[in-house]
Amino acid sequence: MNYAELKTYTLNFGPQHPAAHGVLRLILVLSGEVVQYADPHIGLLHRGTEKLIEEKTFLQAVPYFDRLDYVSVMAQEHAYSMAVEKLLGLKMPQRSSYIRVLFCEITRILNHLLAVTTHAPDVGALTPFPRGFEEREKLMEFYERVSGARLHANYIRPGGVAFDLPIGLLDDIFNFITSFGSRLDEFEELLTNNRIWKQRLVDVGIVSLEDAPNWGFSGVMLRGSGLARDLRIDFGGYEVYDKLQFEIPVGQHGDCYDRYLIRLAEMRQSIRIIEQCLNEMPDGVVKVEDFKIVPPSRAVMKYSMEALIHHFKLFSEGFNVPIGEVYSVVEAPKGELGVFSSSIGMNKPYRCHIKAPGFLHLQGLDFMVRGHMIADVVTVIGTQDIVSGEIDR
Amino acid sequence: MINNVGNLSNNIFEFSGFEFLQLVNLKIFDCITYFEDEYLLQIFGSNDNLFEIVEFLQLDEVVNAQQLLDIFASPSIYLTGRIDLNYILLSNNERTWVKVLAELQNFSIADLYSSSIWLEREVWDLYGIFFIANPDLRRILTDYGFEGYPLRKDFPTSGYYEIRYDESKKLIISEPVEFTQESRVFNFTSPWEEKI
Repeated sequence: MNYAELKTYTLNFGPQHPAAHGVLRLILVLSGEVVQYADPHIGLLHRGTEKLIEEKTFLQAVPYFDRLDYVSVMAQEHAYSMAVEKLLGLKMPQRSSYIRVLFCEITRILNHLLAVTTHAPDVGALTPFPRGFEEREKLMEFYERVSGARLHANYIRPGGVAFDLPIGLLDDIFNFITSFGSRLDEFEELLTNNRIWKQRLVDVGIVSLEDAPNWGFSGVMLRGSGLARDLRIDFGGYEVYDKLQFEIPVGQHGDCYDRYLIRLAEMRQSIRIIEQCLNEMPDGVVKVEDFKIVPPSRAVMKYSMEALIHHFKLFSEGFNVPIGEVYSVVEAPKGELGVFSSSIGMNKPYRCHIKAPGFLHLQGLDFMVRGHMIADVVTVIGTQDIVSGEIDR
Repeated sequence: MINNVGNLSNNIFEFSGFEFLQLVNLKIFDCITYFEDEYLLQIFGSNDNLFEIVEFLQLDEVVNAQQLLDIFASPSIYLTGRIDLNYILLSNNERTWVKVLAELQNFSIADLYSSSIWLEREVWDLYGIFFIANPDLRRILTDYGFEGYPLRKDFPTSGYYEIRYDESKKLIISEPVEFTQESRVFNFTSPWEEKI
């Protein structure tokens, strides 16, 4: 018997680690430096979101979705609001759809900026990190002007959007996107043609065209392998994406380098979408004009009795949603985010299930890192865009 | 919104684009609905036939469900006390939603889709629904040594045990839950209001 072949070493890539995004405990079974088997232990950030949502009304449940994937905030609110609107059978006014798309694309830029600029320091390139976060600060300033909070906005609610855009915001967004293209060029200059970056990323974590659908990948992970699937255009799209023109970047090799390039290209396409939204932004109301579901404006509430009653009923009891179940999906920046919501006619969701894209991506970590070395595990975790908040809920 | 509802027990149905189903031994489904504008195919089935249903959806050329995106359990909205198991599949043409009643033991579809392993683990951990032949059925979201199935309706939101660090014993101990403040319950529906 050859005992040397059987010897493996089990390493705990512990929950507290700067490269384990959020809390992620990885048990790595190594043979030398080569990974034989990786077993992610999740649930260290499990906050019981789904159980807590069952105790809250439909409007009070929106902030739970902010905190799921705390990097791309408004995408989850969007998924939940769409689910509740389907249960209610509402149709969104045009202006609210355009504002939602605008902020979803800002969210996409926020997310990809964080993904790329935290992936880089994990691999070893420390410079992009503060540059990318400065851009995120500028975008969070837009979040704050429109909703009041920099990160957990609670802005996209069932029935439309919480408040109308303040004066001057669209001009500032336009100034941002005219200069953002050059910022992206600076990142590309640092990383894309860098020898070390390429050596660390090319041919690492390859996902083949058969493996990606089998493991339930979605979003950038799926497009990196060559499957051109994007929920913004598939099945007719949602909101006003069918009226906007943009391209979907698709990779060929399915390695980390392709996914990095796709994220940069998606940021550029997001700039394009934002510009179209700014040009086409229609006038009108930002919420559905049904005060049984959406609160009236505070100014009107101060002098009108009916508005006061509506305001009181909505913020104490909430609106009642007809019996039904719905599953709504959204192209969140990380992948396909699904929200299942069911109602038994009460003012609270009876069951709310959230399917996070990172959950299935992390499941695929095992087959992606087999045969690679420990440093590549860090690269693959970064490319999968893992955020503990959405995986553990 | 609903295109055509098919009821298999009477064998009278005709779907635009789904005539192929007439060729199959349809006794494995209970009811199929196709929502045209949402590209959603909803299938109700019985637990015994679940594996055949999902296998058919995967192998068939027209449906060709390449991805299993989600498995989740939801208590029945008709308040029967039973729990439904839902499977969400995706293909190029439509999204398929298969709904079966959960039994004490269910068959895992890990042979068909690898993505089902963790999804079934989550359903097992949070609901206590067991899957035979899942290669790796252990807890995934709850704490090591947690007892109980949190998402069931009879499990309280506050839980039963809480964990704290005891300075005198220098250990993390778990004791029964003690709250200084009652959790707020938002039950303001008036008794004379009709439920929709």
